[in-house]
Amino acid sequence: MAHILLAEDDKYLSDGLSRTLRFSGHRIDVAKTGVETEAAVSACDYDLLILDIGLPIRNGFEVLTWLRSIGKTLPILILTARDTLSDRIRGLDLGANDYLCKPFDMGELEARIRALLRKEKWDNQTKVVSGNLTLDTHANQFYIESEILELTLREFKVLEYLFQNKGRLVMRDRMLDHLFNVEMEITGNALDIIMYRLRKKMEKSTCVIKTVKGLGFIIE
Amino acid sequence: MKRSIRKQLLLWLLIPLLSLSAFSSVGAFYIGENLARSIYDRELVNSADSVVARVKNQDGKITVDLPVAALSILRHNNRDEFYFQILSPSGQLLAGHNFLPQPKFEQLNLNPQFRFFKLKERQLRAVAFTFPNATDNLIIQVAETRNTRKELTHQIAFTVLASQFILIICALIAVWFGVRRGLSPLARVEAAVNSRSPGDLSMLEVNEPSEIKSLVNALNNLLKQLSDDVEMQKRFIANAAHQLRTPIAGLGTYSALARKLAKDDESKEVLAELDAGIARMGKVVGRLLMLARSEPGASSTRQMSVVDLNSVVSEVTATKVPDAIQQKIELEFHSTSEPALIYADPSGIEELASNLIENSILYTPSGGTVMIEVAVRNGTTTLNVEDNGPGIPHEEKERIFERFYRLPGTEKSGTGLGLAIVKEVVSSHKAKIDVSSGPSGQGASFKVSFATFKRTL
Repeated sequence: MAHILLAEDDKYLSDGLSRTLRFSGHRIDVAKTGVETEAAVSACDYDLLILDIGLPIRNGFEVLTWLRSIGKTLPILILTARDTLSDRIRGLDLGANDYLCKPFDMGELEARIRALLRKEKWDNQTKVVSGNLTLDTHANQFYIESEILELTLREFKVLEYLFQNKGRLVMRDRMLDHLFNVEMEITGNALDIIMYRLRKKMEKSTCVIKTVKGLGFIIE
Repeated sequence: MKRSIRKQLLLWLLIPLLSLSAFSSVGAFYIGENLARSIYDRELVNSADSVVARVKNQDGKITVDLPVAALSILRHNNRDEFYFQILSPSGQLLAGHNFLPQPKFEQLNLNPQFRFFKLKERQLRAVAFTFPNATDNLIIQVAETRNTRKELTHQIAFTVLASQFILIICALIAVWFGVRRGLSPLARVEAAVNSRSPGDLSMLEVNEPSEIKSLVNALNNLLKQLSDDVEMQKRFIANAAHQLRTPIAGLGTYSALARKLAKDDESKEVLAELDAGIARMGKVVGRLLMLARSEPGASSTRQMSVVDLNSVVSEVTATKVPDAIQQKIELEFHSTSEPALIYADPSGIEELASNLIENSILYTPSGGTVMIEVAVRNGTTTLNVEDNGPGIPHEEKERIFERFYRLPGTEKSGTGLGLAIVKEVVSSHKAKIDVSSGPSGQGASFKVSFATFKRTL
């Protein structure tokens, strides 16, 4: 499915991880040091880099800084035993796309990998499914079973953003920010109306938009 | 035996004071007696001279013209008796009282010779000397009782003794109250130690007199050593937990792969259990690390800043939503419209909120609700996490914050460390936590109160 570079110096973990990800259909290369990682990324276009911070020779932060400084834009997921807020902030500030702490749930890691690949190569992944609701990213269409779900542009953007973040809560503010960024700016009240209409239209679907009171929305 | 500083001090002060007063009373007595002797002996010689002046030599017969009135003048007062005799060199009484014992003639000359003697149980002081008469040298001896002398001696001694006594009393009072006053810095050190939260091993900062300084320094050295030891232990726990993370993550990948490879339902079920165990182990390790980080000694590593409780708690709540949905628990989040600012360590607050919310989700049965509320009231900013689960029995309310303590009869797979972390974060932020039932008397409510951050101009 995707070509992933795994930068991890612990052999037991990197073996287990690469075998599991290969089983899911990815192509996995493994780098054991920071220098190896930098060389591999320079030599080959990976779809994703899974990066440990505690790498020998050059650590993950240094690798990350260098890769971004030479203009590499591939999605990078930091996978590390460092779990403090300041480490997380540092990693994300240096240009990582996501940050996951060891020990992690394999299901969660795979979901995050999917999300990163989706963000990066939405076009490669033509279909995203939740319940019996399908998003065809080529046609920019939602389907319930095989029936087209008619949506306004704003409704589509809202539902699409929820699909992009499937399984994760989308905070109200973040949804409003996203709509602003795609030039679909609306007010909080308008968002409630859109949500109400979306739910109405999705009555026949098994995909449910859950509202978390005071926080935001999520689809599973 | 309990030794009292006060009693010891009194004892050590009393010994020299009493011996000093004993010595000085003997001295006073001695000085008094000498003084009285020198004063009254002079008068006695005067009296003898007066008597000599009255000696008349009429035709070889010696008489003393001493009327009663004159005799009474020679007495000091009514309390003392006065006697005299005139003797010839051969010892013959020429005039005066005959019952006085005679002086030793061979020692006599013109200089007065004093002596004591006893007469009818009375102590007498006598003076004798020779004086020239018409034909011969005669001997005069006068004597008096010693009542007045004794009185003077006693008065002098009493004055000295009385002032000694007053001095001793003053010293005792001074010691009694002075010790209390002198020990008050110790009481302040005690208060400073007592007011500490358990586990606080920071240096004592008490501004004390130099005598106490060494004690405070010794205490501080001990505290330093202890905190170093504790610090080492903590580092060990943190390192151990940290080192466990990667292998546990490795285990997780293999068990996930095994689940995918498993063909039959039974293996899948077994591997799912294995996964759950690994997840739990991972959680315990994470919490151990968190706890090692949130303990008082680690408070120096806290990075304090102004934090909007709304944003931290909402971010944390958002990450708990998938878990809540999986357990069919309704989450509610109530924020304040204005920022709820507190001065805190964002990581700490994140850990606190994360553990409280996770805890509530874990112990609330399916279909229940967990309500998370940020509120600002009267200078206090609160985070309230409330559920309508089974609640916490009153008698367990203190114990739930202990490490690895689990409510009796719980089957849920908590780590037993979550609330211990909460407690550490609360105490390092000088916040307060209240555990009670929900508003309807059902469920559990954890309310953490922080001082609202106020911008000072």
